[in-house]
Amino acid sequence: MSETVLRCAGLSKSYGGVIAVQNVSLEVAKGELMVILGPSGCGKTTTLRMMAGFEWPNAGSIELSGRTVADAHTFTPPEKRKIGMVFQDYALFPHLTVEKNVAYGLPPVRKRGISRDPNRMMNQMRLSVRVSEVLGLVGINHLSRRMPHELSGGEQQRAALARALAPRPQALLMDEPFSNLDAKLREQVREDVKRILSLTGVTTILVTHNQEEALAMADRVAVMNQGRLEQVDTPQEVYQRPATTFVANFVGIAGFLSATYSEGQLHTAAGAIKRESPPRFFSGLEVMARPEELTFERCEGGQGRLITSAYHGAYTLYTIIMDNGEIVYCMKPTLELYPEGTSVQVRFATERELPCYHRGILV
Amino acid sequence: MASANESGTRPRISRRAGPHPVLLGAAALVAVAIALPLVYLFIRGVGSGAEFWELLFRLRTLEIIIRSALLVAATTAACILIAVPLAWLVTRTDLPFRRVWAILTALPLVIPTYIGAFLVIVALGPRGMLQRALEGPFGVERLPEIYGFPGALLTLTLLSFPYVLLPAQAALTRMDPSLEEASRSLGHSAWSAFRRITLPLLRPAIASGALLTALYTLSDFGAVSLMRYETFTWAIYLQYNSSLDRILAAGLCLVLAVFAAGILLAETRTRSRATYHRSSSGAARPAQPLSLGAWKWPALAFCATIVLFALALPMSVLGWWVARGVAAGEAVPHLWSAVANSVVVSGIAVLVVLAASLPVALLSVRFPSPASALLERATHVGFALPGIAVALSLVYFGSQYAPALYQTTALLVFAYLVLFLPAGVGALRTSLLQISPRWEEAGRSLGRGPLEVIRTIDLPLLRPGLIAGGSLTFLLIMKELPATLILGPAGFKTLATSIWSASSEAFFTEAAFYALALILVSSVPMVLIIVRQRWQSQ
Repeated sequence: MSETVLRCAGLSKSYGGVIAVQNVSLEVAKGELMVILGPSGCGKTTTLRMMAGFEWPNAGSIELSGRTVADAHTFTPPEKRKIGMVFQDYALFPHLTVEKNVAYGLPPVRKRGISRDPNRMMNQMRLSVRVSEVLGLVGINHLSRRMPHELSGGEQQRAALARALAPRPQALLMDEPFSNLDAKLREQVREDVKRILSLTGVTTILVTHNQEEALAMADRVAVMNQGRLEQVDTPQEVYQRPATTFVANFVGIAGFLSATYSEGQLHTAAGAIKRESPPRFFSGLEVMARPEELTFERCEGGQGRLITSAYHGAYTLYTIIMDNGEIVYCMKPTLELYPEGTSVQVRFATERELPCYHRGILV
Repeated sequence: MASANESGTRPRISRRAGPHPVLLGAAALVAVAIALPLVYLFIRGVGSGAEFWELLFRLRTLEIIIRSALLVAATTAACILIAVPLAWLVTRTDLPFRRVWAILTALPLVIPTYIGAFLVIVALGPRGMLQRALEGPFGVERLPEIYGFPGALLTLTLLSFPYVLLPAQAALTRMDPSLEEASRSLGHSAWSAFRRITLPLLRPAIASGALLTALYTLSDFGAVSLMRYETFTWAIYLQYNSSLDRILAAGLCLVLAVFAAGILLAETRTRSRATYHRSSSGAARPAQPLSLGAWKWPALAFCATIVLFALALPMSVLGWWVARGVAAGEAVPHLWSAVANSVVVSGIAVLVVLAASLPVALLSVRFPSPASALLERATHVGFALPGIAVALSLVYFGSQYAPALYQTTALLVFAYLVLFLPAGVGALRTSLLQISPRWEEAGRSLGRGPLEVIRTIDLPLLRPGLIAGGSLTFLLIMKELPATLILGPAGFKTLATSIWSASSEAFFTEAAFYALALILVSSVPMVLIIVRQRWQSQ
């Protein structure tokens, strides 16, 4: 394993009796892009703000590069943590040009008059080199003299990123950085940001409520719900083997089929699927299937009926009600459109071992 | 990165992210300063025992309370009714010459009430200009009585409505127009959007303006004394002047302070929990001015009437006196030294007031707690105490504990600080509420300490607020009379004291010269900032 840059242990925070964050432990490795994903109000922003030093935890500790910055005895103020932060509304200083916004976090150079002091001239040069370096990195060198309000949303986003990166922070924190951008732009900016982050190799913690964003960007995803971490894993694992039914529902569309286990197989209304090790429980089991893992054929007297279809162009998403009342989803390439009410026979479209839950927990 | 500790030095550690100790210390110092006069009043008043309580429960005290309450309520209501429509007309509509109106309607603030009341009497009093003008053609021998409540209300309303107008205008200019647009898009008419969105968002600005008006009315001495309407200040003055009995004067001052505390409490209740800084990205667009159509004419008439009575008439009466004086070749001996004294001492006091306002405003906006709220409220009490009460308490304090300061301009500047701190705090608070705390957090995350962030982020963003608050305070201090009279070193004549002594000796032409000079000099910064504001909003 590579070096851990940020380590949270048992982090808790409550506001006058309302628990916002509860016992959150998280480790982020050097250069990693960790995405904290969760619905609004789940405590993800509070967690981020504790890492930044804007909130102090009620319990637990935070370590940055092996140095404790917050626990029961210590609290390092934000300016001593060497973290960069990109705010949801960017928080560009409205009275400074883009250039000066970016230079704000760099060692200040006194500018009174023309100086012959070689040291100061060196510092001045270093400063402007670094500013144009990061502005070039995010691709807005030509906008350096503009005021923040003269920039588009995407440009403000880049300026905010440049400002946060300029002092070479140990970790970069991003709070819903794309939520103020329109959909088309968001995808473009997201790609660019991911490229910039991997170029600089900066350790990043990004908070979002958008699961698509999380899966597309993250090295690892930490899914939060009601102040707790439910799962920390790679995007593939989070999507294919969610630790809880909450995660399954939050990171994608999930259909659940009640199941019984016998002889290496789980039996459901859509047929059997393999299961190598016997689960700890034999009843009350549910198998989760993603829409692409189920398929159907038109079949009079089949065990399912189409109730809605959502047309997405290349594919269509069908909602199917099974004989036993269970609801599943099925995604099909739009080669043929099936009308609602069609009776169908549903079966698994995959051979892989599907995750199985008992009372909402993966078993 | 900004700090030098690469490896060896440990970061400074504090338990929690509270306010910086420097901020706390400065605010505590301010709190002690403003507490001084109140403590003196309390000691002198309550300390004197039975006599004090007897005074409090006399019928005459009740009458004074009722008269004061009536005047405060009527003046404040009248000021809001005039100022809010005016503010809206000059910021959000296509009213012709709205920049000119914006400047003209703010100007009455520069006329001190002792000048204003005298001009009202000259114009509308018995044997006044209006009566004489009507006597010839119409045989009018008597106008409705102007002395008492009507005269005091008229004078104070015409001269103090800009206290509500200026903050309301500033808030309207900075308000995000998309909120009104959202309301319109939800099916509300322009009027409904104004009533349901703009007005509630204006509430903090209107409330702080109304608070200033109410406290100003309560502590005004010039208008009520000339109009012979016996409210607290005049009663206190009579008491002090007739018997030199400071105990009774202090007693009445204490009741007045309790009264002011009541007004402050009422204003706290009108503050809502909503936050007022803009949270969307980018800078505010200027609002699309609303087309008035045929309403343009009544709107113009409204503005013109206000300007006529609050500014044009008083100034022409004053101008007529000055012209008559010039024609008669009368000389005004100490005009320039009075101007210089006024400007220098007011300028120094403004800097002191602003420096003391900053920690109070920062604490109350950024670190809301019962203690910081109490501190912010407490600053207003100094404004409610009449200048005469603050001056008396400082005379006592100075002669007793600080003889070196007694009879110096330093003590006078300190009196100004106690009296005008709320003007500074109010202006800074309003501006601070519009500065998102995210900017400060961004500054912190970029390696700057809390004081550095105040210097590099808050102060530049506060500059318009500092300039506005500074010019308002300058104007108030230039006009201040009772404290200047009592605390000014011997032979120290300012414009205000010169007007007072000239008019009390019936040298009306001389008084007119001083009055005109006072109005012109004290309004310069105000006019400059309004012109700049208008110019920038183009």
